[in-house]
Amino acid sequence: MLEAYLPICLLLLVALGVAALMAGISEWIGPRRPNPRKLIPYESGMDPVGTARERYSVQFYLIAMLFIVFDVEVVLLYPWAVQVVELGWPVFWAVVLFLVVVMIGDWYCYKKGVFDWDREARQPRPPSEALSQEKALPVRETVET
Amino acid sequence: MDAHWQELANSLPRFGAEILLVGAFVLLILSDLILRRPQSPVLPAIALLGMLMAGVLAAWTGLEGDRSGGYLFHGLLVVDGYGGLFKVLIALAGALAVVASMEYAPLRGHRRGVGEYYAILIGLVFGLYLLVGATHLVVLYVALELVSLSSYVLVSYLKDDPRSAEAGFKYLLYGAVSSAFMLYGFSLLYGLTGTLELYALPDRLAELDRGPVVALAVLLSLVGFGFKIAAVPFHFWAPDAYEGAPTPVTAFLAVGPKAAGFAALVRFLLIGLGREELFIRLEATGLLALLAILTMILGNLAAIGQVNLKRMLAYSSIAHAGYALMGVVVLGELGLQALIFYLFVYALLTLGAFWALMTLAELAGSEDVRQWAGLGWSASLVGVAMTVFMVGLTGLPPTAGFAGKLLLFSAVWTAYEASGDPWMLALLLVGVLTSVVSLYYYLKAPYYLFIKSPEAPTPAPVAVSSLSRLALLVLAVPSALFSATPLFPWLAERVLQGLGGAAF
Repeated sequence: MLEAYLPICLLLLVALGVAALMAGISEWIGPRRPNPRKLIPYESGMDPVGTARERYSVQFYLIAMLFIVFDVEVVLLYPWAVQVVELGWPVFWAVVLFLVVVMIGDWYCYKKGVFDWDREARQPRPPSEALSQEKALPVRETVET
Repeated sequence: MDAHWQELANSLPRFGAEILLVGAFVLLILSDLILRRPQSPVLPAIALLGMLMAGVLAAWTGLEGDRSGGYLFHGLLVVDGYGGLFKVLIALAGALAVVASMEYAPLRGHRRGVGEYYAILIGLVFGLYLLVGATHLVVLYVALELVSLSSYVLVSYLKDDPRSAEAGFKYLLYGAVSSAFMLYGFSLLYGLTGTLELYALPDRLAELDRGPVVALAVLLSLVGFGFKIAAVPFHFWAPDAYEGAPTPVTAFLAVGPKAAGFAALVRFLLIGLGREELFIRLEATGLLALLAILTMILGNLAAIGQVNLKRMLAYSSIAHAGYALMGVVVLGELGLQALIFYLFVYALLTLGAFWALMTLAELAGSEDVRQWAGLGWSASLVGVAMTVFMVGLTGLPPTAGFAGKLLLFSAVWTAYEASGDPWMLALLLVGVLTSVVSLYYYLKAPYYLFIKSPEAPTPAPVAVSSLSRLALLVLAVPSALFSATPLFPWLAERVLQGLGGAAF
């Protein structure tokens, strides 16, 4: 019964070994020339130290939502792709229809400027909104070097 | 595989109304992009046509479903005459909301345009259609979420208006919590029975002898429905959301989700719990009666103090959820007929009241009823229509409201005579007494419009757009005279015999 789990244990050991080996080698022979930007945990992300009540751009949420859409799309496409020959043409056209609907949504997002991160910087906004824009903080910059 | 294809091929044509709504949604966002005119009249036209055609198709597929068995997609959904009635009601309310939106000034001048607005309105109607037909717990939940998410966006559509943004946020918080409760209830039901299919639930539940857990699961599931129909104690969102939302959205929220919520609740109780023995064991009648009584009392009492008419109508819609819940308590052929008829009457009166409110608020520049003094004389048609709707919502003869309440109360009385259940008597007493209370606040609007003299000299007659006048006329005439016409007894005796109960 328990022998059945032996391959999994072996796999775990091998994985741990490979990981330790790679980390060890890079620690041993890698050159070290630190600067402040290199020392932050996420070089192109947000600084994880500081207040958590930071305001950040609503664009993050839009991207996250679009990611979910395409994520679900892939989940639905995988089982179809495995069985594509057996399922035949009718399912193929059903999948095409599904993709077209998703692509229309994608095109709509593109036209509405969801992927355009600096649109507001390029276009002057109407005066009624100038105030609210000033209050909102811009996308967080990386740490100063 | 072949059986699966067969099921799909059988299901798709009877899913036509919903497919049409999705098509209208896609067409709307495409034309929004292609036309590049945020206020193009094509957009509401597509939405209006979509709603009306979906209503016609839903009626047809509903009748078809009654003839040839209505379960679609391996029992995920059911399409029947009962659902068809609700779908027609929702489509008509949606169409009226679209026309009202064309009249509503803040939307006409909206900076971002109305393409997204109409698209989301269609999405909301699609969610309601799914909700009406759902016979599977997951479909029920997804439909409820689709309805809720669309409603949040619509409520906060005027996002430059702080009240609208606040309303959307509060609505979102209450909605998230209540849907979490409902999901927990569903998960308990699934854990207890191992099935998500509503019609498989009663047999499995009957095998269990763990009463308290089943009761908890059902109670938690009811939270979601209670939230959608705005029944006490899940009503807190209603006044704020109604007040902040654009008026046409408020009108639709007070009618569409409420009707679909009742449709889904009745399905859940009848199919999922299989009425008889489970009902008695869970004392569900008493629980629902208690909810109805609380809702009637709180809704009517809280409405008394309101001077903002939109807020007052919000509490009024809570109170009417209580009246309609009486029909759910009675259930059976009689209770269902009374419930469906009441919802139709309520929809007619509420949509009319909100349209009159929209017009008057634009004329007076305020939703505060105290600012409307004497306005009834300068805009007489709107004033008279408002009076009709208010009297109708109270339930006085000869308005349609009287017909609805009469049927509902007599259904409760018949149930009391048959069973001698003291809950029925309590329902009846509270219903009649709170109707009397409601007279006070409903007549506030006519009082200020006609009797109270304005501080400034009476202004000259003001112009009301011909579309508004036509809509008010169309809504007010049947509202005012319905129970005086021979149509009412005819409906009450004959037509309702064949409706409503057919699916069960």
